Amino acid sequence: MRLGFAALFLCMFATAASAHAFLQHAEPGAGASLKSAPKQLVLKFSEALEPSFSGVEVTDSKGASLEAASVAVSGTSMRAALKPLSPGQYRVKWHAVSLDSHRTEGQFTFKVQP
Amino acid sequence: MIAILALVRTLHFASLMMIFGGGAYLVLLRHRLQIVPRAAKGLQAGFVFSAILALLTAILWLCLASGQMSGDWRAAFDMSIVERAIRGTRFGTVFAIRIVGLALLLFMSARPRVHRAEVQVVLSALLLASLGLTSHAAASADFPQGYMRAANDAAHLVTAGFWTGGLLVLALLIPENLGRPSGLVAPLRLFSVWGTYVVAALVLTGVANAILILGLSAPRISVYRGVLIVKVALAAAMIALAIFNRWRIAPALPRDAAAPRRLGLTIATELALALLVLGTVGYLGLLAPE
Repeated sequence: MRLGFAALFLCMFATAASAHAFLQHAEPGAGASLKSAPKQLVLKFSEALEPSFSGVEVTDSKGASLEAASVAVSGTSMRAALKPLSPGQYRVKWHAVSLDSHRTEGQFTFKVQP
Repeated sequence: MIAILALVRTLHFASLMMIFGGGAYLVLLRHRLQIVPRAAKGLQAGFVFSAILALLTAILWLCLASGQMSGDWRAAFDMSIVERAIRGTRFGTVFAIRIVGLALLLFMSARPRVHRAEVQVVLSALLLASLGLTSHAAASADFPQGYMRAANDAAHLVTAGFWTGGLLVLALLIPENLGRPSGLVAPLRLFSVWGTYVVAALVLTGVANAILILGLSAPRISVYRGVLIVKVALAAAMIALAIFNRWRIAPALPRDAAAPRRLGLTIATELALALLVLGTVGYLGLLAPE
């Protein structure tokens, strides 16, 4: 019985929690300067996302929105297949809603070298 | 808008806790002590009012959260956004089901002669517990951990509901027994016995919840932690008053004519503190736990 409670307790506490979806890793990363244009954008978050209200937008240096070939939100990740990018600076704007309905958003830039 | 959502959440917690805790203590009084308070009829009207409030605040909470999720508060009353939240998010689906359950609870509260009080108590407990599915802790882990965390949060909400709602019924028993203080001894003892287990479970689940959400990292300053400290201090004051009631006022009831009034004062203070605690909970759920 005691062992059962201990196992239950350990299982509950096995991972840390933050409850808001914060960006943990991005590929290309924030501020990256790339020699070749990336074919996809991958964002990893600290919490599982609600696909219906989570998304990402990429804009060029003039602020024009680039249409991604496809955007997929699954689990803690967001993936956007990018159409060929020409050299220049790009801004990534993301918004994420976690399972408890809280919204977080942010942005960063990366550069594709000539 | 955050302040309005915090208020809506607070009113939702308070109204549902009154129905569950009040109903549960009334059932205990009837089964264990064969006592039906004279105020029971008035209480039933209070339950109907609370059920209406719980239903309206649930609808408003769903709408405001939908607006928040969309990133534009003005979308809170855009039905296409609310529908997207219901169909596409865990929060929306849970709330749509809860709203149906709350409508049923209102229907049952309005017809107490037809529906058994025990069923209302179970339904209100489930409605309170289901809020655990949309909590910070539940969102922060996958299956099965997320559901275990939701269960912990549900236990915290239900035990808090018993304490808060039960206190209200206990307060209403006092005017009926002003001339006969000994009549309060058995109801207070019953509440204290159950209350001891309930408060112990409340503290344990609360500590577990705080660790689950914040982890065991070194203490640091944040708004979330500040509000949490205020909540813990208010809850600690409630526990201190409960201990005072149990060990000081209860033994004096059979021989001290002034004891019921003192009991009424401490219970009223406890209830005011409970409302403040719920206010902090209403706000905490909207803050980033960091």
